[in-house]
Amino acid sequence: MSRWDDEVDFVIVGTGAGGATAARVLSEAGFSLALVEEGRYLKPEDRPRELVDAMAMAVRGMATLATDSVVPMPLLQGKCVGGSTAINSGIVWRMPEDVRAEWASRWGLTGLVGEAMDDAYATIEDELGVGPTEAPIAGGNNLLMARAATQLGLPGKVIQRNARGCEGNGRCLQGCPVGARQSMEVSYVPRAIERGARLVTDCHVERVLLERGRAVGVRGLVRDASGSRRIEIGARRGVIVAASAIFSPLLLARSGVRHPLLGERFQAHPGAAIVGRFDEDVCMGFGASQGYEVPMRERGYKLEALSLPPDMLAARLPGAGRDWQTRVGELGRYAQWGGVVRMEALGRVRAGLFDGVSVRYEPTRADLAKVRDALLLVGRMMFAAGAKEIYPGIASMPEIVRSEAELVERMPIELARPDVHLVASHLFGTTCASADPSRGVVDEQLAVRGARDLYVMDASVFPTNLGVNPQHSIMGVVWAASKALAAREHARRAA
Amino acid sequence: MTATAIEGLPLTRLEVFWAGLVLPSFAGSGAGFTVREGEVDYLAGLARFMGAASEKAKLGIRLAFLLAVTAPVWLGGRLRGFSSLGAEERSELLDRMSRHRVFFVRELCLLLKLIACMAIFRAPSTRERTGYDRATPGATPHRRKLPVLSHAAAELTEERAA
Repeated sequence: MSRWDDEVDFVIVGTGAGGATAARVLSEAGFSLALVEEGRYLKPEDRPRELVDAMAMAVRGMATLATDSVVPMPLLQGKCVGGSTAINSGIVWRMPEDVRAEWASRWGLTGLVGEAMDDAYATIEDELGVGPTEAPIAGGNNLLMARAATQLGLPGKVIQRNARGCEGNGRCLQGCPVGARQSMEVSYVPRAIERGARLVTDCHVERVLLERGRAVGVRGLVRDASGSRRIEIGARRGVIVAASAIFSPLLLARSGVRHPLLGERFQAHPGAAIVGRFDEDVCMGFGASQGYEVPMRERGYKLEALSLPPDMLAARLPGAGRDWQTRVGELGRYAQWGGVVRMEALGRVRAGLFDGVSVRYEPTRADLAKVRDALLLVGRMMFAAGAKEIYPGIASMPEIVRSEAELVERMPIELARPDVHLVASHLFGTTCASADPSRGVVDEQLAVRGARDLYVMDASVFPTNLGVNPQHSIMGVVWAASKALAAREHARRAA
Repeated sequence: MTATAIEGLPLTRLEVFWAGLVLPSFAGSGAGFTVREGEVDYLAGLARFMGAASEKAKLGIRLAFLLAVTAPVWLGGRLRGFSSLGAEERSELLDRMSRHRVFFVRELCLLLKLIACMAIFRAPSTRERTGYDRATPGATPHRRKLPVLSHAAAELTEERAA
């Protein structure tokens, strides 16, 4: 009798952009797979419109997982089949050329970011229906931002998204109700299942089982309606960890992997936003949640339109009681645009007391200067587009600002960290890849150093952050690595 | 406020009582958008939130309720209980907490405000009264097939660029 509850060629831990892409490539290369996911499998029709219910199903800790600090920063991650791709806006950016060049020259990752990545991008974009956000479904929030960018002569552009047949329901965060956004739970996960992959949900992987240094399977705890039980899944060819920049290093550490850089070099793209009130209808309830952006790469940030669900928008409006009620009564008149910053700060992830994890990450003065610059520009754009008042969300400023002159005058020369509410949604590092063993927890094939047949395939292998939305880069890198892995395994099988 | 919601809350009975006082006070009563009597189940919304929140957030929520109900003393400078205040006074205190100079106080107040809003907008009838969902004129949603970037299209684009 087998010691395993199931046995496959590869066990993949995590079903986000990394894990699902590995599943897409390896299943079509003929390997048997088990995809193990901590969260639930949610069909489009199961995703509620109401935010508290939607988040309880799909967002880790209701987005209250935060950095350890006197000024904590919430860390936004999906926790369901599809991972964070099931709660993001489907924004597609190829990895910037300067990042590719740096990864090749400084980190020796030419095999991942060379020609193989271009081939991967073309296929992924084709399969996931990548295209521009079209005007009829853009919605007022995006169209207003486009107007502002034009008026100020900024390099704004329509966002490319993996949304096939978007109806502009404005529910990317809660989950697309028609399955238009090609997040992994409606694209690569079902595609892998069609080719025989098994999906195990509600299963927290406790450790990767290593025998004489070789990854032979995983042990997990399944908690579902029938209760909780431990399972072990055997991996004949290897285990792929794709549990995110926060949880991949923790799983490796629990499994006995040791490397001085494990959990180090945590990076992110934290952001902050401004809400503005207009005399015209904006109606965030209709349109792509994010359909317009202004890349300011040379200044270290990107501005984005971001429509909020009504609960979040109402919570963001100033005041309580009578004034707040008046504002909420005009909830269709608000726009929100934010700045997402490519920060230089480096943090670290460790096992911790609360929620099992401790994330240390503090923006530097230079990072906060970029946040200030971004918010100042967003505020100017708001007034250029006709805002009657804006809510900067900066503690050392008035809660309500009514003109560009007041904005410029009252914006502090330097932001202090407690001045601004930052949220981080793009997380990187912690199991860095490098050709140099002293600088990489994993090598250029994304294989874990010091173990055999154990791989990491998610944003945790990124040696640097990007300055753009990371999903497509994760998929491109993992695609290239999985293709190479499949080729090596086929060669091993043939031998 | 349902019995199930209270049973599901990881709070003491006293904290549940505080939640029932504090959460409705963000909306208050008066002009503009109003929450109708019995329309919103704040405790059910709180239970849903706390059921999925991080351990740190659960602790923060309990602390936030304590801060809010004692705010008449440490913020208002009066030896009175939160429950003895009128609706407008409660809202005003929460407003002052949300603008407090200490980040920690502001953030905890924002956390409670977000939970209150999630409970309010869990009731579909409240959302309908805000104008949030009105479609922009001329932008009627309809099913459409967006163009995809195929290999052929990408090659064509490259050829044109060359």
